[in-house]
Amino acid sequence: MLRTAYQTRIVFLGIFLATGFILLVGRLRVVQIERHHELNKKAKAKYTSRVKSVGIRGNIYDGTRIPSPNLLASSKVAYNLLAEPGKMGSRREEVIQKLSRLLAETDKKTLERRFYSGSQEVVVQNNVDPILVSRIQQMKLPGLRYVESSVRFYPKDSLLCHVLGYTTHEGSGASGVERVYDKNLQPQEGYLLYERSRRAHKVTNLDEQKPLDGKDIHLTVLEPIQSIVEDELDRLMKEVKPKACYAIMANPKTGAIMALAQRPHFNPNDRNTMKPQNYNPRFLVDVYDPGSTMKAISLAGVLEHNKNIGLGTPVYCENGMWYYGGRPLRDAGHNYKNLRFWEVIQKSSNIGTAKLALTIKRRQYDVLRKFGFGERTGINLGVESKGILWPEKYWSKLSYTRLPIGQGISVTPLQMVQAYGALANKGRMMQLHLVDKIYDPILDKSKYTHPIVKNMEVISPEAAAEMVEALKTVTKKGGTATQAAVPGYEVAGKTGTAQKVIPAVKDANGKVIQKAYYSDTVHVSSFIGFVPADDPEFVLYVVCDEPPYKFRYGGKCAAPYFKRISEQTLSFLNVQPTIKDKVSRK
Amino acid sequence: MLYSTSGMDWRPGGAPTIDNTSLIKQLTFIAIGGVVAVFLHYFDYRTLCKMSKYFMIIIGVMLLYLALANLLKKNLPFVRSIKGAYRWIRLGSLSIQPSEFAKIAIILFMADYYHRFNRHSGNFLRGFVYPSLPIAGIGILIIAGGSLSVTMITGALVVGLLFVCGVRMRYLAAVGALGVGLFALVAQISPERMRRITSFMDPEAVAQGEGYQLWNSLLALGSGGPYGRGFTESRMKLEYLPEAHNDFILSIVGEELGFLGLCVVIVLYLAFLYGSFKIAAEATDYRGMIVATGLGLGICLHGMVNIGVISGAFPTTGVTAPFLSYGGSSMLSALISVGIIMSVARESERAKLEGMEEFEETKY
Repeated sequence: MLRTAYQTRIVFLGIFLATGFILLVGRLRVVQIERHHELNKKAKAKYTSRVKSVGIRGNIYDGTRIPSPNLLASSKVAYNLLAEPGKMGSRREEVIQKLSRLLAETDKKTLERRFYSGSQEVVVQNNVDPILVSRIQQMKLPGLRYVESSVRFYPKDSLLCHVLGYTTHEGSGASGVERVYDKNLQPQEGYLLYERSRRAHKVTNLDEQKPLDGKDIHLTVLEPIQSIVEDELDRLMKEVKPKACYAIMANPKTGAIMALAQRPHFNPNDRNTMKPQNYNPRFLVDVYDPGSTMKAISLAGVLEHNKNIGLGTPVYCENGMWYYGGRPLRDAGHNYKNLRFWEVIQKSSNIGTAKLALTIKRRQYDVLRKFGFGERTGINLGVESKGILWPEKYWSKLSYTRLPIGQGISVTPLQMVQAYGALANKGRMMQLHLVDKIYDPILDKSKYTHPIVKNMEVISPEAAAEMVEALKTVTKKGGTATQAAVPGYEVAGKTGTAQKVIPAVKDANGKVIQKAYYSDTVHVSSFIGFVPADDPEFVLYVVCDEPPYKFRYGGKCAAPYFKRISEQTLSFLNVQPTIKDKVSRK
Repeated sequence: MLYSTSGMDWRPGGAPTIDNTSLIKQLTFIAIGGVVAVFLHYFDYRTLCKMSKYFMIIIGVMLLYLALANLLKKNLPFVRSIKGAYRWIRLGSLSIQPSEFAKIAIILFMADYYHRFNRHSGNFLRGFVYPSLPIAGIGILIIAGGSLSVTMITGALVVGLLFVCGVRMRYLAAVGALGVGLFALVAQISPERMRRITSFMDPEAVAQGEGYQLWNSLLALGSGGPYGRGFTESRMKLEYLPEAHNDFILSIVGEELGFLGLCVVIVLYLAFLYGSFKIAAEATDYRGMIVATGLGLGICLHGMVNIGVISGAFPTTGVTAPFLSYGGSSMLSALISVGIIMSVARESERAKLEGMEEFEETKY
């Protein structure tokens, strides 16, 4: 029968189709079960997105406690302006026109180049001010996009610029406190992991980590005092016209830096002012032969180690010319005969100092090391020089007469401040530091920097006190720095007029044509002192690098500014005058 | 009843891009299709078979019109190009895809022909060439309309039916050889097209080009795993997988309901196959046998090719999943098929009830 044949063939066809379906089940098994992990991973990569969210970088404040700290560095909201030229259609030229007119930092040519580069999205300008952004938004230009970012902002412009440093365009610290404390200041990045549609519609959040704001740094520097110092340095630059100058003020009792300024300087808000000669922190990296300011240190060592010598001990000063070790040593422009110990300090006699220092010949190196020379101060502000202090085995006979007067030894200004701090603090040397506390806004807790004693007894308190007495005479009548005297206060201080070393000149073969020598015309002139002498509020060091010849003496170019800064600072700190009667002020 | 329920499998959660209007549209089609199916259920399929040559002519005219539009590459009245293809005739808001209905017409035509001439089925001319000519004509028109895959499925369907009708295997083998030969010819003439056809073997390599749909489909299936991500939890449907509600709806089913879900779909298709073939075997005449076999075969072939396409077993082509994909014509033709098969079943039921269990041999 035909019907049965039909039925048989229908069954055959059915079996054939069923086999096909079963083969497909096998195929699905391969795709869905065997390749599940691989394909699932690849699919997830497609529809999950991770966006970063950034917290705010920590602020930097000064050390003022009352009424509240002054803000020195902060971050403010800005926008990165991006453009998609493909979405602008025929208005592209108009957009270029309008944007280049509004944005000062971006000119028309750059915009045209970027807009016609063929990229889908180009940067118009990063870190655009919100006010400007709202003005651009009002123009309703097509194809623009704004991404929130933040820009570092320094409310006091150039104030304390060398200490604060600056940040890179990406917002991480590039120099100064910004760099050294970058880890603390840096916010912790948060993220959001979510599933999205192809056109970036958010579907579900999978995981979220909120960003954490960076920690705030509170410096020991006091903004009002820093302003005083910077104003005076500006005046110094204008009146004396040296190549550079700097001033460092520290509290000898705690080691806290109160002010730190340098000229030339820069404005961290304006990248155009950032030239290497402006932003190099010279107080950290410059080394120079300090000259006479070293005498107080070496003679303090003499008082400490040679018990036969006191403030009144006389020393014969050879009429201004003394041969020792085959080389002459002069007292610049003076022919002293007999000077007492304190007069050697007051008049800054080279011969007297050298002869006194020779009495403790073998202890000189120890004294200098103990006062912290040849070693970094550890102020923690980035790269720091340790100066040059040769070990004693390299010293020549001449060295014993030259190092005590500050030649043949190179120091950084910070080392000098640290050493005088020890003298001022009765022989106890404190660790210099810049950061008062680090405030963590998330835990609402502060980590304080406690003053650290670096050396309990550099010299004995008695020797220190004697040296202070000698240093007091420097600003008095007959001293080298009468202009540094502060009315109403006893000042202990010392001038420094150091000849600069002119480096050796070599020819093409490396042969020395001209040996290194001390220049007669180029100086580093300085004054360092502390006020009030017996219970000092601060040590202040004012340094002039390469002043004009007529200002070459430290007593002439640095001392007056020491006085002006001290006067204002004492008045700001409300320090009681130590000399009550009017007569003795003269 | 199994057939009607399988139509409910269309899932509203197909994709968020389909808003409610398309869901309502699809439900409207289901309703219309349902009414048509019920009507056909009570309508005598034998009458339909007798009318089949008119259907063939109507479909032929429509296809000719579309083929014309395709050749001229121009929008003629009632014809709009959709994604570069001219497959739809628009009547107001309705659009009809004649190639979907061509299959039904062909099946009815074949049923009518072989019912009347089944004694000649072993004959080369009368059993093979004569009936094949109008069918081949329709096939050529579908190809001219730019729908190669539908033609191929229709061809396979016809070959299957010819086999059931008892046409000699060597003729069928010749048709198969012809198909293979044509394929080889195409491969020879245009290696570019060949490369496109064979790109399905490694879709990841061309994931940004021809393999885009298939690769996303595999990602959807693969991330579904054995049990799926859960109903409406698909991610690949979020604009990643194009046509997620249409030709690739089963990829999303696989992602949401997993391997298990797709197995259920396959079981449902197999059940449909079993049901329709059982009705065919119990039909009271050759017409019923051929009609039920052809319609069941048509639907299952479509389903099979669709699953093959989404899983990368076959080259990527636009074939809908019957009862599941979005698309009025597809749904309507599937429900019409159901209706006609039910009509065949109703006839044999009635014969059984009335005690007329005898098979109605063709009277000459």
